[in-house]
Amino acid sequence: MKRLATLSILAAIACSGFLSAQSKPEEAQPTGGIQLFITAEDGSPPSGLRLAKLGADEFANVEVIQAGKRFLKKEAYIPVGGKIAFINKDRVSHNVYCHSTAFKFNIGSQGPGDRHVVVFTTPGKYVVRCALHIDMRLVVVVK
Amino acid sequence: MKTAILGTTLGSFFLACLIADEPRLDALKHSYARPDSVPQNEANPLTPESIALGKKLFFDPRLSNSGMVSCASCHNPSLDWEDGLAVGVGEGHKKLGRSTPTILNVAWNRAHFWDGRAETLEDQALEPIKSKAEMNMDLDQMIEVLKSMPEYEKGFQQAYPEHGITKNSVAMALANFERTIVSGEAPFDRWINGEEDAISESAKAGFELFNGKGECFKCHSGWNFSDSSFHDIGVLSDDKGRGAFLGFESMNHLFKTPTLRNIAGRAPYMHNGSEATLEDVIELYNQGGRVERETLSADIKPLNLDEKEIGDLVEFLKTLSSEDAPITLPALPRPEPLASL
Repeated sequence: MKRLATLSILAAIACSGFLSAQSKPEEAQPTGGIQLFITAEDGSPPSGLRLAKLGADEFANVEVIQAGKRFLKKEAYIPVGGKIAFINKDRVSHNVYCHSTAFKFNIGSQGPGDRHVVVFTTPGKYVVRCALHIDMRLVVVVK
Repeated sequence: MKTAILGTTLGSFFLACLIADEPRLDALKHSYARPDSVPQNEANPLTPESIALGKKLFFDPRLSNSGMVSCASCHNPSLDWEDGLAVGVGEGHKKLGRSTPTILNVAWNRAHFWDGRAETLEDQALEPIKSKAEMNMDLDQMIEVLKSMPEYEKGFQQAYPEHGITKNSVAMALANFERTIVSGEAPFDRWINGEEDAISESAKAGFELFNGKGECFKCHSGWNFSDSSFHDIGVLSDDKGRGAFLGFESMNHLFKTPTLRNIAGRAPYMHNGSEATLEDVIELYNQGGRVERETLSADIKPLNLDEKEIGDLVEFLKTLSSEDAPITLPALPRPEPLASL
C-alpha cells in the first residue's frame, strides 16, 4: 500500500506504438491510442508493475485476465496466428504455459500488472495453465 | 475552535476505522472457516466399503517389496501422518530426497507430491508403491499378493464390484481412505466460531500479522492454510522441484505450499527438512529467503518482523493444532491357510 502511495500515475493520449517498461514517458512517440504510464516518484518504472502495452503491435484478438488466482475466461477461440493477451490483475505473481505436443510456450514469471501477448501459430485445442496455481486452466481453440 | 473541530473529525475518523475493522476481521476469520464436507472425486464416490478397504491397504506392509513398509510407515498417524524426519526413508533404509508430506486434509489439495506431479489422489496413490526408492513393489506382484487373500477379494467385491482387484481399484480405495483423514477442530477454529478465550492475545496479534505484514495469507489461504500453489521461497537446496517435473528452468526450486494445520507437531519443516523450528521458518521468510536466485518468488522479500512479532506468529501457528482421537488400526487379511496334508 505504501509502495502504491509513492507511485505517480500519468496518463497520456497517443496513437499507435507503445512504450517498453523501461521507456520514460517523455520519450513517447505520440501516434495514437491510450497509454498509461505508472512510474515511481523519480519517473522510473517500479518493479513488478509494467506498462500496459496498448499499441498496434500488441493487438490481441482476446484478452484474458488473471484475478483471484483464476483465469476469468474458461475458453478462448482465436484464428490461426491470433493473439491472446494475458493480463495479471492479481496481487500475486502468475505464469502462463502450454505443454501440448503440438504447441508449447512458457512466459516465465509474470508479476502483478504485467501483460503478455502470446501468438498461437498452430491450429488445435490447447490447455493453457499457470505453473504456480494448479486450478488455473484455460482452453484455447485455434482454428 | 478549529482545533476542536479537527479533533472531533479525527476522533470520528478513528472511531469509524475501529467500527469498520470489526467486519473486516469477521470476514477474514470467515475465510478460514472449516468446510462442512470433504471434497470427493465424482468417479470414485466415498463409500463406507471403499474407505474401510483403503484403510487396510494403507496399513498393509505387504504392498511393499520387502513386506515391511506400508504407506503408514512414513505417513505415521502418531506423528500427524508424517515421520518426524528431515527426509523420508525408503527401500533398504536409504534416505529419500524430500521430506514426507502429511496426509492430513489431502482431499483439499489440488496437486500431490512436493512438485505437484499428480493432480488427483487416485493418480498419486500407486506412485510410492512402485517407486524403486520407496516401496519398490511391482504392481502386478501387488495384485497377486492381494488376490491370495480371500478377505481382500471380498473387500474389493463390496467396494468396487465392477473392478474387483485391479491397480485402479487399489488406487481408488487408498485415495478414498486418505480423503477421510481430516484434522479436527483446533483452538483457532473455536476462536473464529466466537469463543474469544480460545486463543491468546499474542496468537490474535499473530493472526493479524499472518494476514498483514507477514503476507503469509498470499499462499497459506483458506481453512487448510494452503492454495496448493508453487513457489521458490528461498530454501537452501539444489532440488529443482517443479522445474524438473515441468522441464522449465523458470520453475526451478518451486515447491507446493503445504497445509499449516497441526504444523507445530510437524517439524522439521520445508521440502528437505532444513528448518528445525517454527521460529526458524519465520526467520527464513523474515530474511526474504535463505538464498538469492533468479527463481525466488517476487513475493519473498525481507519482512522486518521484530522478535515480538515472530513470537506472535508462532503463537498463532500453534493454535492450528487439533487434539484428535487416536486412530484405530485395522486387522489385516491373511492368506488362505494351506490345506493340511
